[in-house]
Amino acid sequence: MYILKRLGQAFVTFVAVITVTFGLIRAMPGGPADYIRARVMRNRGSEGVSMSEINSLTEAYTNFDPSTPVYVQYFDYVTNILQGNLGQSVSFAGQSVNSLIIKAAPWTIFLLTIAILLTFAVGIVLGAVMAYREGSRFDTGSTVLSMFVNSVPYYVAALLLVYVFSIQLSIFPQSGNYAVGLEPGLTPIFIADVFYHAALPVASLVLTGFGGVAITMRGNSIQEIGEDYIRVAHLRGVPGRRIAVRYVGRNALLPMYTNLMISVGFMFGGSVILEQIFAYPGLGNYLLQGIHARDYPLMMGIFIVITAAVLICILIADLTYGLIDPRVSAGEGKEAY
Amino acid sequence: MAETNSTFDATDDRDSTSDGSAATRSELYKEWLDVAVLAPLRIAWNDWRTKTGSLIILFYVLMGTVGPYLVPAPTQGQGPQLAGPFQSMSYPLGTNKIGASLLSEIVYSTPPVLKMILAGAVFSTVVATIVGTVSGYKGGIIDSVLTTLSDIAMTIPGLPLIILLIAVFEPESPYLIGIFLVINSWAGLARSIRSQVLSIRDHSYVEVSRIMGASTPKIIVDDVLPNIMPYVLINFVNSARGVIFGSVALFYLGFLSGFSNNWGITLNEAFTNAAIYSLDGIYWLVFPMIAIVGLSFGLVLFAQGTEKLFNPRIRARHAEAVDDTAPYEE
Amino acid sequence: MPSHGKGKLGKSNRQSISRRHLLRGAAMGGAMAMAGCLGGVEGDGETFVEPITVDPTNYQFNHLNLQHPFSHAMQSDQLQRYFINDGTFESYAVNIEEFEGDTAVLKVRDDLTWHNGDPGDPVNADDLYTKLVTDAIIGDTMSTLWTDIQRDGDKSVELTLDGTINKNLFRDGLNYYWLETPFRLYKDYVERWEDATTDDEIADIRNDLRNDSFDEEKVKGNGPFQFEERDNRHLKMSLYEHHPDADNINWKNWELRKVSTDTASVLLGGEVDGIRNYSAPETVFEQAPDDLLNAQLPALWGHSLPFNHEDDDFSNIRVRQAVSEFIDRQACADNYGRLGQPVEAPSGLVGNIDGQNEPSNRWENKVSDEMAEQLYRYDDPERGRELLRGEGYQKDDDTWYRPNGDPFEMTIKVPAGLTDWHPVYQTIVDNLENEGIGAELQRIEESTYWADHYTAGNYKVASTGWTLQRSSPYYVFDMYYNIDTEFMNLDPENLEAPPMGEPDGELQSVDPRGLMEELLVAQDEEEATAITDELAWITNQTVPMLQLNEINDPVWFYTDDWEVPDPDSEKYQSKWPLWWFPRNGDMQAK
Repeated sequence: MYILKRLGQAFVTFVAVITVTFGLIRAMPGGPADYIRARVMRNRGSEGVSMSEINSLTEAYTNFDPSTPVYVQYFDYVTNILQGNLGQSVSFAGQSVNSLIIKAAPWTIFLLTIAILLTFAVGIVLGAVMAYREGSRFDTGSTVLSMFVNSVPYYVAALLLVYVFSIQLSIFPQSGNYAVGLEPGLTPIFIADVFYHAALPVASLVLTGFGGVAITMRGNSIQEIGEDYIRVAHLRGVPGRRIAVRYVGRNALLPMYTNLMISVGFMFGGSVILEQIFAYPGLGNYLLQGIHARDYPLMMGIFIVITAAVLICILIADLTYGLIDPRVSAGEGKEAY
Repeated sequence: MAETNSTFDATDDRDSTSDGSAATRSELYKEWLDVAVLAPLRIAWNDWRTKTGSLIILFYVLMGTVGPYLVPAPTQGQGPQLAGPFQSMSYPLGTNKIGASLLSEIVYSTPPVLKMILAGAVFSTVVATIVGTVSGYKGGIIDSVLTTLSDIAMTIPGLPLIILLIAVFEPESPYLIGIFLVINSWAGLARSIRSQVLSIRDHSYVEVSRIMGASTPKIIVDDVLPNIMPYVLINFVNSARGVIFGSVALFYLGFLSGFSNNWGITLNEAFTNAAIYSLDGIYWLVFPMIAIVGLSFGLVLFAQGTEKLFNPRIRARHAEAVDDTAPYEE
Repeated sequence: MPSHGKGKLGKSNRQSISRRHLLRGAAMGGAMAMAGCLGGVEGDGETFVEPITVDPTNYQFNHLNLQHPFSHAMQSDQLQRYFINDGTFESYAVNIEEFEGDTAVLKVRDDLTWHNGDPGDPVNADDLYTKLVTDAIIGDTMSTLWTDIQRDGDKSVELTLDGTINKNLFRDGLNYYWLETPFRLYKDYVERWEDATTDDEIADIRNDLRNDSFDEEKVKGNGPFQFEERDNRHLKMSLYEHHPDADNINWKNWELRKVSTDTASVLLGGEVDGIRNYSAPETVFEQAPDDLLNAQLPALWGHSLPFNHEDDDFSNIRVRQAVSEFIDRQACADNYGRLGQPVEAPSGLVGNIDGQNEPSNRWENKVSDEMAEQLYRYDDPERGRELLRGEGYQKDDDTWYRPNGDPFEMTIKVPAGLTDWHPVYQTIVDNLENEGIGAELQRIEESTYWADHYTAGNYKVASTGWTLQRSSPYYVFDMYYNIDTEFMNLDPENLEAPPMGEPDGELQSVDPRGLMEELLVAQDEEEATAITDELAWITNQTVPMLQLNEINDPVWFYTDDWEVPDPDSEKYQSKWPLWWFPRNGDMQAK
């Protein structure tokens, strides 16, 4: 029953998000013709468009029939989405939004998965060690460091990393997803190269993200260490390592589980800037192009894909949380007072 | 974190005293302020992180308020073009491509940034606190509706949504931009406040108030809010940091219009002028970075310093200080 | 951007470009070196690498559809070559066989063939006819010059001109035209155009044409390189040996490679062999390695400050003049960087900068010596103050007030993304602030800026270029008095200017549009100069937009693998060296 209810809730959320974004995107000033106008104005004279034509372009590049009432457009759109059809891109002539997303999504997912896993792995280990050495120099040093890196925006880190590792030292490539000329495939060299190109973008997320995780983990662990049951366990003679991992570690980790899932959404949003800096051909890159080009179907499509990803993550978190933490019950919603 | 409110259990005593005594309304508010805000701040102040953080924040506030009176406004030709830092007192941090002093640019970026931060942090904290407490305390249908709303807000990808909103509304006032930047970040905070409230609402002192016939708003303000205040404070600071990150990013991407100077614009100018490609030019990129990171470091320090209010074990060490300074504690 | 072949100006330096990481392997890390070996196509003198910033798999092959079109200058040929330094023309893909009265006959170059075979079909009259007809469908420059068109034999097309058009204007109009319209692809549109009788019908055809997309890569081209293959990182073209100039080319491939949008890194990192046009910031010039050559040619373009002619302040010619007096165009040009020179006398005459980034007086050749002298220079702030006072403005405590008592203030709108424009307008803000006129810069997202602000006439003062990249003054005046009028809310029918040679004289009614019609059909040079004199004076005095500077486009080559002329060679003074050098044998693989 709970699962059904939760699924129902997720569905409602999904439709609501579609509705909100649909409304917003329709409210955007101008349309695809604005972008054409901008391009023409910027390249005036050298590109074969006359100004007299500019106004008629407005009609040439609209992606929906303005004569249909908005609610019909909306209904058609939602029906299409639920059938998995995100429509035709306007700015990428002749391509469907689905095909663009299929092209871009794997790269973003690849980048973000590695980044999130590494961020949490590094942060959790560091946080736990800090908690155990609470008050030591290591703890103080790491805390300051963690707080400091936590206050560096990831794009600032990205720029610095590019400066140091790509421009000054030429160790890492500055942009792109793999070297030109490599045949994509499951060859070791291709895979190695893909990781190599992902190094700086991933590093900028991990370096600025692990601090926050470490601090939270440290706080949680210290709190757990102070609990009575740990003291009891010590008295009972449970081995220290076992206490550290099974008791403290596990209980300190639990509250972070939801954080992990929610950070997926944050990271997806952040990929817009990161992919821009690294010219990484992922969803964020296309989203930005879509916004500049006023390509409504593309923008909507990417919004929906990101939303769906976040929803699924939260859903998984909610549904599995009970399995991990038996104390949690699902009865918070009773009418109170 | 259900047990974090032990220090504040005194609140229900306060309730009974205030009901029975002739304390004036303003005294009540003073008490409330003291218990809910000042006492925790005093505890926090004993922490070096809070101190350093506060000093840093104070520095930026001064830079944003007094700074523009001390430093001339950035204009072209304050010095030679692309002069390096530490060469002349009239442009201590060097100049940019049009010979404007970087120090002036950084200082004059501070007031709009502070305005954005203030608007954004106030907006998200207030909305989150209202939604969180009401939904947690009331439960039932109201809870379901508010929770669904927060879920929706939480699910929409933040930065892209903000970009979209900015494209639609073209905000120019720093206050409005600040609010747009946190347009959905209240949701996460509202959810955590809700769960805090959930654990508080069944406490005996809340029960007492209820039995005594206090109205819901009164209970929320008198009994619930003081308990979550430190948490709210931390999140105020966190959303402030979010506003800096977001605004700089959007100015950097060129999505935000408006007139304000902003460190993001300086950063972008430095980057597009290839300052990153030479050792001589890197100062142009580094100073705005320091400004951004410095303020957010101050905020993080402050938040971390205050966070210990949550941790009963750490707080216990400071319990005495609380007794000395907070007359309403037992 | 995709339509790479066209003379797109790199006005923003946030374009893109990538290769020499692989190529040079300078201080490369292990994995990169490894990838470099595999990449393996580089530095072998076989492939010229040029940057793009888009995913090549997103290209479609109808260049008239503005959404991600592919059409490359090495894939098809330009109609003619124009030398900026001496103003001469040289026919290339198309020759003007006859130009007499109101008839012009254009003929396609012999031996030119499409890339659809070995060799493919010859490029013939049908294709040229298609080029001119599609141009008429979209209503571009050339189509405004003729009234009727027909095929004239196998290779030629005959145009009936709109009067006895001045040959120089006709030739200038032919610039920036490429022969990239095979009849077989555009047949339907051409036939529909022939049958169309009303403007609405043509609008429909235009609509369909703009939305159509082709995927016939090979057929599109007749230039020295033909489409070979593409994936999401690169697009490769190979030498087409049947091109008449193929013998001048001693390498095999021309490759477009997707690179970061940070062009500076791409160029300095040596990821490419050359860039057609990149207005690099100073640091890049300083940091450029020895074997990175740069040469400049005038962009025939510059920044300007357009006024809203319906604004309370700027509808007044004297206020426009006064503000022009306060603006330091030299500082604007200096702050733009080494590639800019100020406009000496803002009057719509192109030619204030030469190929060496030095000031030039080419603009004086377009008017009489006397007029060149007379055109007002706008460099006297004191006169500006007098003009403002004369119009009822007042200066108190270093602040100017409007006649109604409000402070005199303005917002200058600029596109946020075009960061290299900002220093120019920031300078104006500072000039005006120093004079006591409140000014601020508003950066607006680019699409929004052009669509909702500039072309909507929604501004007090804004920013745009002051030419359409053609050097004849006619086309500049055309921009001010025909094309951009609605953007600037300018009414050329009711324009007033002081008499020639007397800037402070009584305003008289003038008729720029009438003068332009005369200029278009002026047959002898003396007459043309006299009319140009008048138009230049009107523009100089009415200041429809204040022309600030003129800039150069730099072309970049890596000379370690490629041999190109010295940067001061006149061969660079024709748009664009990167397209002409291979065809003329001026560029060789080492």
